[in-house]
Amino acid sequence: MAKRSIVPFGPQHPVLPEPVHLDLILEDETVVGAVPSIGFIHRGLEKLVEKKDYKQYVYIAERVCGICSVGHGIGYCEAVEKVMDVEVPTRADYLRTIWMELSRLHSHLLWLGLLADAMGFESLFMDSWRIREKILDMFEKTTGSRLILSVVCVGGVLKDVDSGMLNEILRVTEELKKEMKPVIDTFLNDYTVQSRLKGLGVMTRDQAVSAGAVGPMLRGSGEPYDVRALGYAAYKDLTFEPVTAQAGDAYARCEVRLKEILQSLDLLREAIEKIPEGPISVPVKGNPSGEYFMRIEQPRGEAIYYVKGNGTKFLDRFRLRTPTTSNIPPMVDMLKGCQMADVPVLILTIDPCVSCTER
Amino acid sequence: MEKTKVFTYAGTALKNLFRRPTTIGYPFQPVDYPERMRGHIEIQIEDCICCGLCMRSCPSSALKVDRQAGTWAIDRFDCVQCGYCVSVCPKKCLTMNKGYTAPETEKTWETFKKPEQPKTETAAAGGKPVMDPEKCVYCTLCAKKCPQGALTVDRKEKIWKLDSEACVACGLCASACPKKAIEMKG
Amino acid sequence: MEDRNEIRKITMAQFFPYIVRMKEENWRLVQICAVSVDDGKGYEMSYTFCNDPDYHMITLRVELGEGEEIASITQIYPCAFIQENEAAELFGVKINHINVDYQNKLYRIDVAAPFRKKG
Repeated sequence: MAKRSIVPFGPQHPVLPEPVHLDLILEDETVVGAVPSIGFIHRGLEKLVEKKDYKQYVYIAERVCGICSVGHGIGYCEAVEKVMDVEVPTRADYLRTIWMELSRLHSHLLWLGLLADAMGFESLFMDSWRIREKILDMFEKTTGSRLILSVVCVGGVLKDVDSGMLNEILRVTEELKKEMKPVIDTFLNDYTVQSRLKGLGVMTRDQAVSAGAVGPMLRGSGEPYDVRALGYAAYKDLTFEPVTAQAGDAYARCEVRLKEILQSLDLLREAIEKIPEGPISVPVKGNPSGEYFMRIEQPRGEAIYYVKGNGTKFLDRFRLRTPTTSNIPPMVDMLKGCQMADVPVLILTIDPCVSCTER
Repeated sequence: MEKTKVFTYAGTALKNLFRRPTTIGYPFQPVDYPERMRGHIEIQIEDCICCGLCMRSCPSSALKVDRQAGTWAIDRFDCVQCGYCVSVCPKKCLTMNKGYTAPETEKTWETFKKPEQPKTETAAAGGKPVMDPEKCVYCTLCAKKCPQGALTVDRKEKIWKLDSEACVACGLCASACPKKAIEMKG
Repeated sequence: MEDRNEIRKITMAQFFPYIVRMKEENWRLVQICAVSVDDGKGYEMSYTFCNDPDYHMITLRVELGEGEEIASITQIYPCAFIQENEAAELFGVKINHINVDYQNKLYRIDVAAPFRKKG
């Protein structure tokens, strides 16, 4: 039997944007086991819900994470609205959807850049992030902020987007479609990328489901589960079909995200064409009482927002189960049997977002 | 649809060699901030009534309002630029403006002091609302406008009740009243 | 699509058979949530499962009294280990036999059970 050794990986590692630590158990160069440990950036934001009132907490929910921020705001507000039986105006629903899809675009482009960087493909990394910058500029124009938008409130949204800005978003989506072409071509067809990703970290459909994978991890293994199909916000009016890939390897997960970028561009166009005129928020009076499990599709997968109110303006409990929390166990399963040199790329394929996970 | 190519990116990479840079030469070339940019908070201190609503709403406790001294203070490095204070301010004297706070070596509080005002004006904005039962039609408009939810109005029972602890004396009820039945003098 | 999202209250005796049945029917574990009730004396544990093809989501709710313990479901759903460790560490829920028990070292915090309500 080969000699076993334990190699610490992280919390500071060139491929990791955020700290997560893994103890890799190696047999020669092959990984036979991994023990993840988190807890470097735990801030206890869930507990803060007892100190800040439920309208104020929107701003804290948004600050759980910089990249998934838009979704956290929307998910929390939708959960509170369900508890309080608030009907959000249709225009607000559409605006939420537009911002959500823009955020999916920027999150996936960020991930593509990181993946290219993990493979050592520097110019592709720069190109992905250059394209992403246009979306951040769109955020800044429409909301005033580049990442943490703070435009969602319980009962609707705070800022309206006029038709000039909507047309500009449309123009940017057209531009992106053109600029994404060489990037998508490289990620899908390039020999270097394929030899780095194909057949790596294969997970079958059953494995993915039983390990509790979500998002592109689950869809990359062929399970067409995407919460947007449930039709929260404005998705009920848009044509939507979950994107899947069958192979279940790192390449398939990359393919799912690339196709989701194109799908988001289409959804944006459709939403902007269909957006109705009208009010953007309704006044909310009273305090939440009751509980609800809300699920929405974040760029990284399904996220759960649990809200329990007790009739006062302070909530009893807010629970946020982020996609990465669910994706860590499948990642550990996936690492078994791979080569030490592939570990960084494999960790990146789950798109880890550690500050979300620890809250 | 899937194929294997080599030098897929070479064309783009070559083009990038001869293209003008995407970045700008900051700080020599100034940044063009969009209209809505949330950079920092400014206050129109003359309009401020020191109600303290912004202080209580701030998620990061970056604001301090002293009613007695008539001051409004902000720790710009604690502020997260969420804009909640701007949306709750009953007098709309807070605004979010372009441009970021310049970096410093330590956190400091920036204090604004309300200028002394002639007596006649303070009388209008000072004190809690008092309702004149002869004029009131119990339309509940004042209760709807109250940012603190301090007013309870019942049309059937003809009740107009003020929670004077919650009241911040902003005067919104008085200005909203269609019958001019509310006076800020209590 | 209709959002089927229900909460089922179950007793401690029903708990394990239910989880086994969920596993047999290939439900995906979505989340585990602990809530501190009765001023920190008891807990509400919610185990959420989802049937992916029809998006049906069921939450099993078990109530724990003062000092009551619950068995870990990592024997059936190995992927539950992170969320069970989290509940044990932040809320002080007594969960037995977690496979890969972090012994309150998941979040590297000094205070014991910081999320439990103090009575």
